[in-house]
Amino acid sequence: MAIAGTQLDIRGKAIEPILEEVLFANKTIADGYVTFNTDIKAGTIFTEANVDVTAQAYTGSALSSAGSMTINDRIITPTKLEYKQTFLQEALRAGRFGRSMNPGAFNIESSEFGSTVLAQYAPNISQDAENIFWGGITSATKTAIAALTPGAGQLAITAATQTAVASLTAGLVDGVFAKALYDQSAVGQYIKVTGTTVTSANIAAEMAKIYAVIPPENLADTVSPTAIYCPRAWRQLARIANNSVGAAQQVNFEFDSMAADAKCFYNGVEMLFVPTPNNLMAYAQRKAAVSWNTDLLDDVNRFEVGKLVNDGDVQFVRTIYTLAANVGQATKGVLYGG
Amino acid sequence: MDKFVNPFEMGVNYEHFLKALGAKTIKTYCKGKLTDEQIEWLINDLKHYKLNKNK
Repeated sequence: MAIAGTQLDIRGKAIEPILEEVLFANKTIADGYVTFNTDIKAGTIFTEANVDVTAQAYTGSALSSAGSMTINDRIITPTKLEYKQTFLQEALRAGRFGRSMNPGAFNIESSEFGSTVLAQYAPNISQDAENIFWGGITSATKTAIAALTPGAGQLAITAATQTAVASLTAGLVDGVFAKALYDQSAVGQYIKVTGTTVTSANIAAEMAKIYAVIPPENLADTVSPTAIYCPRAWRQLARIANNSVGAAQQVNFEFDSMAADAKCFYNGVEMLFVPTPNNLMAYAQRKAAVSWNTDLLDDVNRFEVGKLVNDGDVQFVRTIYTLAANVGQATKGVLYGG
Repeated sequence: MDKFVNPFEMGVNYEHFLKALGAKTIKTYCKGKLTDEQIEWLINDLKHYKLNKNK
C-alpha cells in the first residue's frame, strides 16, 4: 500500500509539529479493567467450580448425600491476528520528510516519518485490540444470534438486540459482549435488563435497573469488585445527568475529580467506559470473571519495521498478537440491553 | 378464559406470545397484566421481531 494523501514539494519551511490523530488510550490494559491471562500459546483450560450444600436434619444414622459439586472446563485458544502495511519512503523525498533523510541517493529513510507517522502504528493497534476485545463478533456468532427465537424474559435475547447485532461488522474474534450474549453454542446465561436508548434524562434510572439486579454477593466482593462496563458515550451522559441546566443539582453519579477522565461510580460501583459494540449495551460483572487472554500483553504495543527484500526499498510495518475474550460465571453477569 | 401468556416470564418466547395473542392487539391483551412501560417496550421489541423475521 502506497503512502496516500496530499503531499507538497517542500519550499521554504514546514511547521514542526505534525498534527497527529487523537486516539483512545487502551485503558482496559493500562488501568487493569479486567483480568489478564498471559503466556497462553494455544488451548488452555479454564475451570469454573460450584458447590451447592444442603442442610439435613441430624438423625444419628447414615444420611443420603445432598448437594452438588459442579466443575465446568472450557478450552480457550486465543486467535492470532496480524496487521501489515507496506510503504515506499521514496514517495516522501520531495516533501517535508525529505529534510530528515541522510545524504546519498540510497538513503530515503526519514527519521521524522518514523517518529511521527510510523509511531502512530502501535497506539492504533492497541486501540483496535481494545475495540476487538469488547466489541468484536465473528460471523459465526452473528449467524447463531440471528437464528435465536427472541423473547422479553430471562434466558432469551430481545429482538432489538438481535437487530443491533445484525448491524455489527463481523470480525475475527468474539469480544466480551458477544461472549456474554452467546457462548458455548447457546444464548448467554446473563441476567437480563431490557434496554432502551440511554440519554442524560434516563441514564440514572437505567443504571438503577442494572444495579438492582447485580447479585448481592458480587457487590459484597471487595477482592474482585463488580464494575459496570459501559459505552464511552455514557460518561458524558452521566456528567450531564449530574449537572442539568436549570435543574436542582443532582448527584446520581459520583466522580472522583473534575478531570475529563475521572473515575465514575454509581452507588459505589465503578462504571468503566469501554468500546462496547454499540451505545445500547452495558455489562456488570466482577473483574475476575472477564478476562483478556493472550500470549504476551505487550504484543499490542510492539511493531516491527523492515525491508521487504534486500534488493528493494519497499518497507513493511507489522504487528502480531493473540487475543481471546472470556466471560466466566456468566449467570452472575448483568447484561443491559441483552 | 385462556391463561395469560406473560412474555416477560422465563421460557416464554415471542412465538409463544404471538400465538396466545391471536388477533388481539398487544395493548388489549396485556392491559392490567403488564405495566404501561412494559407494554410500550414490548410493542417496540415486537416490531424488531417482525422486521427481523421478514428479512
